[in-house]
Amino acid sequence: MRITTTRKEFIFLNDSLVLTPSLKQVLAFLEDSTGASLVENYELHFKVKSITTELLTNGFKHSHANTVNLLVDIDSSHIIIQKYDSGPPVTFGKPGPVAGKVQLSYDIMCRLFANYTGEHNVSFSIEECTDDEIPDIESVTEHFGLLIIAKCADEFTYHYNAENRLNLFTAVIKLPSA
Amino acid sequence: MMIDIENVTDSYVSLKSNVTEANLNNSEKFKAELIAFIDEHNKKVVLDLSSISYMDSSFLGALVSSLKHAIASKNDILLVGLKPDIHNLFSLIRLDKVFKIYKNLTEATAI
Repeated sequence: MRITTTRKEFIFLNDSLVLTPSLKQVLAFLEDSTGASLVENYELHFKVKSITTELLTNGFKHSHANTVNLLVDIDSSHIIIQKYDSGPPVTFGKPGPVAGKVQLSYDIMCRLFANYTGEHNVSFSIEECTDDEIPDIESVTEHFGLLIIAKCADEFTYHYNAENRLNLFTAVIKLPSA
Repeated sequence: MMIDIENVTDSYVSLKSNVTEANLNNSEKFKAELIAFIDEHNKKVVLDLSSISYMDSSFLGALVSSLKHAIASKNDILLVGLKPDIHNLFSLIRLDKVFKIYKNLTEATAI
């Protein structure tokens, strides 16, 4: 895969009406920066599209700021998409964990965990359930954003920078070797 | 309206979405319309989503919530016409195990 190492910051108005145009803008940048490679690799394109969609949706849904901010980095081995906003830190699961693994959602299909490596450092992980039975509909979650990102990214983390009050979600996608 | 009614038979009502971008912006309104159809017709719903090119987690959540409502009233929602990206999104989080998904109305109503 022939890639030009590059970085671009996107600052979108915090208005859910611009969600899809914002997504198209980020995808166009990624497609330009990776040549035809991204467009021709369906699986990779699907992952990038899904992660970007969910980071933007998360931003429009939860950010109290006037803008939703994405930072995209591309090099020969990774695409890194970060969403950041200012505000109080986000807590996943039970409030105040310092370290440990917190289950965020569970149904018969999979479990999503927040793995605390510090007060404001989290990596997300998934455990698939192997049961192929049709799940009880009432047990199925209605919140899929973090799950989609965790499934599409090779690494998905959250970090809060207390000094500048910045929430940072980072999704890393490893690129196939040339 | 984001949902058009296509046909009503004794056993099902077929509906067609006219939404291209299914996201946070319209998920709650879509859910309200869909639930209103379920309550009005009180029968199985076949929902054509072929118009949708972009879908986010908010919309998926609205569909799951609507399905819960349908099943609670002893009905069902069958999905047809999913574009490849949308079908893959359902498969990614295994919602293809939760919803009955068919290629088209003929296939959905053949059983």
